[in-house]
Amino acid sequence: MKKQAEAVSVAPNGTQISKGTNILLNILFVIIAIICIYPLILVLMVSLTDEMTIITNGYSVFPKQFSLTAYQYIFENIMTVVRAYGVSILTTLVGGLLGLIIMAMYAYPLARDDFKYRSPFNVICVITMLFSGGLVPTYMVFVKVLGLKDNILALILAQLFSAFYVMIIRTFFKTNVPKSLIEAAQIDGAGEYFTFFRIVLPLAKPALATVLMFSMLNYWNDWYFPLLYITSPDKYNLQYLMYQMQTKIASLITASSAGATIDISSIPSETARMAMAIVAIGPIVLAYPFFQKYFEKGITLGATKE
Amino acid sequence: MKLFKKGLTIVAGTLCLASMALTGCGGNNTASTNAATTDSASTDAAAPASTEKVDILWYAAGTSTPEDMPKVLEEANKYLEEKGIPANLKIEMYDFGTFPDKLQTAISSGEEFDICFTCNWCNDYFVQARKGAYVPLNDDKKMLETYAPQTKALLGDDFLAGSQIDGINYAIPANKEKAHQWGFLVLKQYADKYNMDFSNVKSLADMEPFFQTIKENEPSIYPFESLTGESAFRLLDFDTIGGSNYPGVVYNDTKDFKVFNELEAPEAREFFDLVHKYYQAGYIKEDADTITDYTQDQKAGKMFCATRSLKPGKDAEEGLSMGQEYVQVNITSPVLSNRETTGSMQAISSTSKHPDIALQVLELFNTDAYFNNLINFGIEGQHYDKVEGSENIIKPAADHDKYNLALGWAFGNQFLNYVTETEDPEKWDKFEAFNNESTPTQTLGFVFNPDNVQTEIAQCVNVWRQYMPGLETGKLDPNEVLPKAIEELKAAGSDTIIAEKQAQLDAWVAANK
Amino acid sequence: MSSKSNTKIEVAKTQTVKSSIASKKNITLISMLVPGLIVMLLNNYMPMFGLVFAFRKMDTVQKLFGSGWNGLKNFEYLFSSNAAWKITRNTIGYNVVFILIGLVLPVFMAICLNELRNKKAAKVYQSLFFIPYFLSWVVISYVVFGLLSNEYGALNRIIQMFGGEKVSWYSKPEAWPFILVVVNTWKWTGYDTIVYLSAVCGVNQELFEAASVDGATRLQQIFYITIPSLVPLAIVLVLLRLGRMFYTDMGLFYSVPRNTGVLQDVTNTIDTYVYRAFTATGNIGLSAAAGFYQAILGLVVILTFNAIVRKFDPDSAII
Repeated sequence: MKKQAEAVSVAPNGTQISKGTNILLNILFVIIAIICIYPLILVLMVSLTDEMTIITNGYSVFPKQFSLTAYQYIFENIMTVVRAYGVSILTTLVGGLLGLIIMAMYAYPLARDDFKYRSPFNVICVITMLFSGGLVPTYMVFVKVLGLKDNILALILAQLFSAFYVMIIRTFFKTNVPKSLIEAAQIDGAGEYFTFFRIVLPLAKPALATVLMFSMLNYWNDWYFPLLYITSPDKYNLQYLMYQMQTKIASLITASSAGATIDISSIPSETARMAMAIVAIGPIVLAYPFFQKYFEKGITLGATKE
Repeated sequence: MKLFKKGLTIVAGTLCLASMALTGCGGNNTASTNAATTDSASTDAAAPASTEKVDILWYAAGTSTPEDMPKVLEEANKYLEEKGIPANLKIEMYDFGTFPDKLQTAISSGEEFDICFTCNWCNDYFVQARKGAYVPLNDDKKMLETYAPQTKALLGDDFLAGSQIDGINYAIPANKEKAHQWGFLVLKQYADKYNMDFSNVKSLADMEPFFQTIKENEPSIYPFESLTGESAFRLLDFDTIGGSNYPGVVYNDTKDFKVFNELEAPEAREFFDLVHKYYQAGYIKEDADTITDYTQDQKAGKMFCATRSLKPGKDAEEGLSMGQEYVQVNITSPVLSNRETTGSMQAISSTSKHPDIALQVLELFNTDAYFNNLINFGIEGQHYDKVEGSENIIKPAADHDKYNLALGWAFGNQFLNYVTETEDPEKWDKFEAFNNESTPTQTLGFVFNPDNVQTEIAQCVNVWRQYMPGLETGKLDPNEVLPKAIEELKAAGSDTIIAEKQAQLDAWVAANK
Repeated sequence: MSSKSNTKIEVAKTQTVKSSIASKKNITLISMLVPGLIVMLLNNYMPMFGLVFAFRKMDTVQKLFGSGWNGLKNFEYLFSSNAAWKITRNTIGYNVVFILIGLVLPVFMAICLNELRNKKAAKVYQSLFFIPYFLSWVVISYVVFGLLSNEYGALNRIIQMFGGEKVSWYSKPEAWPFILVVVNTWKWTGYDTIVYLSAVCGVNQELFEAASVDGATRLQQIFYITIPSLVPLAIVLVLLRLGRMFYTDMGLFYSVPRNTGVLQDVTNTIDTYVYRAFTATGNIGLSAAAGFYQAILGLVVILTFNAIVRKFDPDSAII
């Protein structure tokens, strides 16, 4: 009787840490969380501060005087911002998903021990991480060979494939997808593609979710490729629009010291910069919890049971 | 392994493909470079029989493309048609931060465009022209004389000579102030409050009592702005032949054309000592060497005195920008140097298919007040209105924000520009007088070619960036740092650079003086 | 190919069937590689003709095939100066520290997050840890300035509150190795934690249950099940980072120290050095040479460590 009770209590606890450790860890994590979030809060508060207050008092999480001027400045032309959000969302979704499929398809054969040529293809992939032709040749290929100037496809293509993520996915396939499962499927007569899409991919959800999230973030945060390839303002993505506004403020200042007569005294340059950071982070920071559901324990277990 | 070989073949194939693509466009480029250097440019031009309109793409710098640009271009193209220039003008604008990258990629990759902004501090004129990016304007084909004769006359010899590279003009300078003059802008509010008289100020040292007054009486005000790259070091007014982030200068009025390291000059040492003294006295912001921009302090009226490049009306101009009132204190005398003559120019790209028409557009821009002001200020009644009873004084109209370049100096003949109602109506006359008053440097027209000392420059720049900000802003003690900086520059090859500059200058003097 | 194997069928039936299945499998697998190969071809391999710039005199594409070779002259500035030793030391030094921290800390955090009993809280922590990654280096450099500046810096205010003397952080080179490591760790730990977390999540739960039935404590389970299962991923990440060991982040080493000259002894890396040289000369050849040099060194390091890994754990080697 007693023994049985003990067994019952061991079973749920045997795979858990003790309460004391749990409390300690929680305290530690709360501290780290504060360190992580403090700068974001600071940025948010600065963006809401009156420009003059910053000049006289510096940054503060508790500003003496609030002001929405920075946001008014950014959203002066609301349609432009909305359109830029549209471009960002489009490239992020299309590029992220398409890239994920391509990278996973590349990673899978590399993870298969029975694939004869995995070594050379591995090398081809790793080389791209080390060697780069540089900015100008890349630009030439995109613009002259592919004709992608002022084309959103350029933004998508530029970040479609990353050797780094391929290696992460490959490792995950190798370690977390049991070989026996693949062999069993093939003995049952399943084709390579069937095995890949129906058996391997579902088992690799945590890794795929991670890579998808990272690559979507790269798309979202990209301002450099629009700078290179995009010329019409209606194809600007959000980050580039923010970058443009920022350099516009900066260049107004340069221009005014170089001899142009512009009234820059009313531009909220310091606070606008922070407000732009907030506007740009906005929606994507909320996307994380969506990906989180793939980081659940025991996916392998569930899948094998299916 | 077989497959690996296959992989290699693929890679090799790719490279072939890429090089084919290159030779394809490379072919074009050679053709157009040839067109520029030999004579086919004018053979093209000799056949203007077709009145069909051609696209002229102009990369302009200063701000991002304003919202109403299409409207303005529509007007501009109508006017071009009236004037019989078969051009369909398109202007793409980028701010100064973006512009160099944009043009660097466009030019290096041989993209096709017609006109671009170029100068010595943004989209480097000397570098790009040497690469063959621009059409020579005054070689045997006399492009400038043929298609823009009035512009040529307008600019005068000094402007043209001052923007030549080995005797060739690759760009048209904007007709604006021709000289630079260093001095201070002082907040009027405090100058008045303490009855300051600047008439006897001849140097930075003479400002000391005023700084002291401010320091003692106005604790929230910084007496003196000291900004890296734009500090009072410029008051020494060395003639920096070549770039400004590595050593090697001559005096403006040099007789012997001796090139020397400016950091080793006695007046430099004097300056560093003085400014370091100011720093210790608290006249300069504590973290001056890390500050990249004092605009905030200026806008808040917290910066009492700042070193500036002056010209007539600079006080009013900057006052308007910052929402403050300033007093202008001139220190050095106006000097005409390559800095100004190459400070703002338009070049014709060697990838242009119609350099002749592009030049005609620029000619119109430089000589036609209506066209010039259309691009600069937009459409009358929409973007600006004329002040009643005046032909050339304007004020903002309803859609002013949708087209507000305020970049007259970055485009072309500034003397055609309207003045705004807040400006001095006699602005352009004063400019004229200022220009006439200036004396040219002895080296006007000499351009240093850095090709042979790239390695040394690359190294010196890093040493320069390490020590100069601290020295020129007054933060570092010159006793300790200056000898170290000089020594490290020497180790990085500064003497080689100076010798190279000297050799090139001597050759130039022998040929031109 | 297929007709060939058809004729052979007569000769050695069983063997051919086997090999034709194998070759069919290989072909199908290769077909999966094709999209990735195409993208790499366009994005990476076609532009690689630019590597030639490292050895050429002229730096325009027009003249790339016309102008003379420059030998190794473009590489000279990387070696012939006093700075060569410093920038190499800084580049390697910081990267080694970053790699070590980027291994230990995220693994620790990922395991701990996974162990938390309150799963909701764990999710909230994860989200918050990830936030620093969202801030761009430019914004971070402003935040750091907000913390460290002389006048309004939060840190100096705190120091003064406790009666200390203000510290001029931007003129204290000795403080910056520490500051840079802290800032870098702050920005990337959340990101790396998530990578390891995905691997921790993938561990087969049956293993833990079996171990717990056998009486293993949770700590033992972590050491004997969780950590070993993370090793392959850790090896790959470390190897890849070793390959990038000669590159540094411009944002961290240029923007965050605000390009301050006084700090250059401890903040100048190969990339910032090259960037300053490039802005002064506008010579693509110089930066191409630096990139080539960094890539070759990276390749050597990757190959070396990959060979070592291969000896002990052939499965985790990346090449």
